[in-house]
Amino acid sequence: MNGATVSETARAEQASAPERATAASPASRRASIGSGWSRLSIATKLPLILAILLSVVFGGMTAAVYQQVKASVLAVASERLARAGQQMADLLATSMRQRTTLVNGLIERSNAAAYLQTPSPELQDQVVRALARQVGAASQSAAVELWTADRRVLHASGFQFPPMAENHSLAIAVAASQSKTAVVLPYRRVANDLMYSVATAVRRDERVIGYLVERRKLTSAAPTVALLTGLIGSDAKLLLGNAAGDVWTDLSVSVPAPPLSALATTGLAQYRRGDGPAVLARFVPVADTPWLVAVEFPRDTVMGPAQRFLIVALGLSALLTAGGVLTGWRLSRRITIPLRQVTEAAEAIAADRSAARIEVRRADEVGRLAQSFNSMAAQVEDSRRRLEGLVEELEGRVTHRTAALEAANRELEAFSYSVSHDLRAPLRAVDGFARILVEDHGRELTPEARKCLDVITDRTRHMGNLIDDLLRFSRLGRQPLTRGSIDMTALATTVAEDLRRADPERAVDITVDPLPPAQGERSLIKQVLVNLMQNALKFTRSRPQAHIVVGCRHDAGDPVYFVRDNGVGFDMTYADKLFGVFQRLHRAEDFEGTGVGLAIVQRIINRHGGRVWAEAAIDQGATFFFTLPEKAEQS
Amino acid sequence: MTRPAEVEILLVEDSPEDVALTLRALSRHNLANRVHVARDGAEALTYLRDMAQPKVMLLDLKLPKVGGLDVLTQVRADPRLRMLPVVVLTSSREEPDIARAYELGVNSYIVKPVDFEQFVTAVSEAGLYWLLINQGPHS
Repeated sequence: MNGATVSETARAEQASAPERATAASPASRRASIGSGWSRLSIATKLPLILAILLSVVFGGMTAAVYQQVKASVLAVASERLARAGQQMADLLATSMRQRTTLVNGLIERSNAAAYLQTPSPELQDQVVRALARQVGAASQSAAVELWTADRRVLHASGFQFPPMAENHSLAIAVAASQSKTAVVLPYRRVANDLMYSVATAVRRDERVIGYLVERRKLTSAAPTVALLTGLIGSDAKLLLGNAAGDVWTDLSVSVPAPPLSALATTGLAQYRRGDGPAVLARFVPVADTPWLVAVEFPRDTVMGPAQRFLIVALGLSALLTAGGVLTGWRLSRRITIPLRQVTEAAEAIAADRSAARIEVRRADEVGRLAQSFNSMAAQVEDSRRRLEGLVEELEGRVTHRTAALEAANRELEAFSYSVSHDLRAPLRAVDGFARILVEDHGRELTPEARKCLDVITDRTRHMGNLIDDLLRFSRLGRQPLTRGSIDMTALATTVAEDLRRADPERAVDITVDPLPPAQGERSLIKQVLVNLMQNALKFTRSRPQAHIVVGCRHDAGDPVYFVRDNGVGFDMTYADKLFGVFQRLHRAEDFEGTGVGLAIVQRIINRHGGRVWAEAAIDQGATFFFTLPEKAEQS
Repeated sequence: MTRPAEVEILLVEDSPEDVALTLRALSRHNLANRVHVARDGAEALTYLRDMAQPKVMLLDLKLPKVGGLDVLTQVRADPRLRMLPVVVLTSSREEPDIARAYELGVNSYIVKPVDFEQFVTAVSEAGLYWLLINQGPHS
């Protein structure tokens, strides 16, 4: 019992040792928890989160505002370009209307209709003069021609043009068939000059009898350009060209045409002409002509403010983000440094039981955390001190009890030794001298005296047996068990053979059934079998044929060994007295014995953690059962 | 008292009754007149050191002054006596006594039976064996 307590304490210490080792390295345990993001320190995480957040916010805001600025800049540019273009287009349209009126009027002035009908020399002279006057009146007018209905040049004044291309003629025909007023035709490139024609049909009775065509040169119109510059600034460029996109000019020389897709755009168009810079432009048609006026603005000039805004906004965002991250970093450090202090202090407490404390210099949440940690640490230390005191006290008590137990054990041993030696010696003397009396003086003794001496001898022997049994019984409680596997069949068979040999005369039939092996101390279990089988032999003595069975049955899977006899049995009313020391259910003169045998059996079985009981009836025999659990909860 | 030259058994026993019973048992084989009795351990050691050696010593364990096991220890430690056949004759059936006696080099261990007949048989047979049958170291 004492030994068990000591080994229990040792085991507890062994168990706590690895726990302490684990607690000493919490860092290694922490490393196994989580991964990636969750493993990052808060001091890194907070600035990182701030950086991402601020980047997103400022980036988004910048992008949104930039889009707005860009849109409004473009809208303003578009508006201004459109207005300038419209002005130019209106100007040109007005100019062309005057021109068509003049060409129409030439029909009357030259009397061309009459001449075409009756080509007299007078009429011819009139036509030629009128045409020449027309050419001389306008500097831009290069030539005026009178055609017949079948588009043959009847008369031409001014510059002699080569025969015009076929589509030109076709255009005249179409124009003539649709309108009574003169028609302005698309620009053409002739040698180094850009030309356009204003043509009208000469009719008589709704029938076209001829054509009047004025050829005009496009000359640089300085006042127009100046007007435009005044309208939208010097960066602007005014272009004029055919809606068909073949011939375009900046009013002085021929220029590459804008892409056709841009020409079709009614709103703001963006494109590059040839190798030139990217431009923004609006196209405005010139009324009653096949022309378009284009006003271009370099894209960079228009977008300049927006780009500048973008750069400033991005710079500002970067600056603000950097500021935010820096603040976040400092903030997280302010938070994490005390946190780390708390952690380190906690680890110190866990590792080496030191009374770690954190210096508190703040009143916020972190400060409160540190304060609560300190009070917790104080409490931990306090309870640890109390526990240590308790453990010390307990250990002291255990030591004290152990010493007391050991003393008691020693006393008990000394007592048994004395009993063993000192009770036997006088007993031997009593028996010995009684025998000597009989041997040496037998003849002088009366039969009554001899009988008395016989009783003395008999009772002395009985007392010797009692002392031996008692000593064996008391030894059972003290000596430690040595457990092993026991072949119960072999053991029971050996015991049965020994007992039969001791009394070969008796008619005894001992059957040993196959028994399952048991766990226990062999010598003690043998003692159990000896005692039970001796009992069985004793109480079957009156039977002509004694039947003794050593067997086993199973209760809920556990083996229950038994020894059954066909002896005199006993009254179950007294079954509870069966296993008590010196308890006897039979009279001494019927059956000899000390009354210790079954007490020894019970003590052995109990020490093995098992149970022993009996079932019997008077004259019906008795059965003694016992169990031997494999893992004994040793007492 | 028997003369030392004739002594073949040294009986170390404090109980006069046990001395009487032992002598009676030994007389069965006429061995009683060659016995010297020592009443305690000290006396036994003195006798052994001063007188001639017996053929065997019958030694009780529970003795006044010097106990039986101490006597045995001293005998085995004495170069002159260490070969002496020693038979423990005691009431103690205690396992530690038996084990200790054999550890100290006892030649035989006999538990005195309470029953007189058994006692007489045990002691007389032992005397016969050690004096007549056993070949001691001094022959």
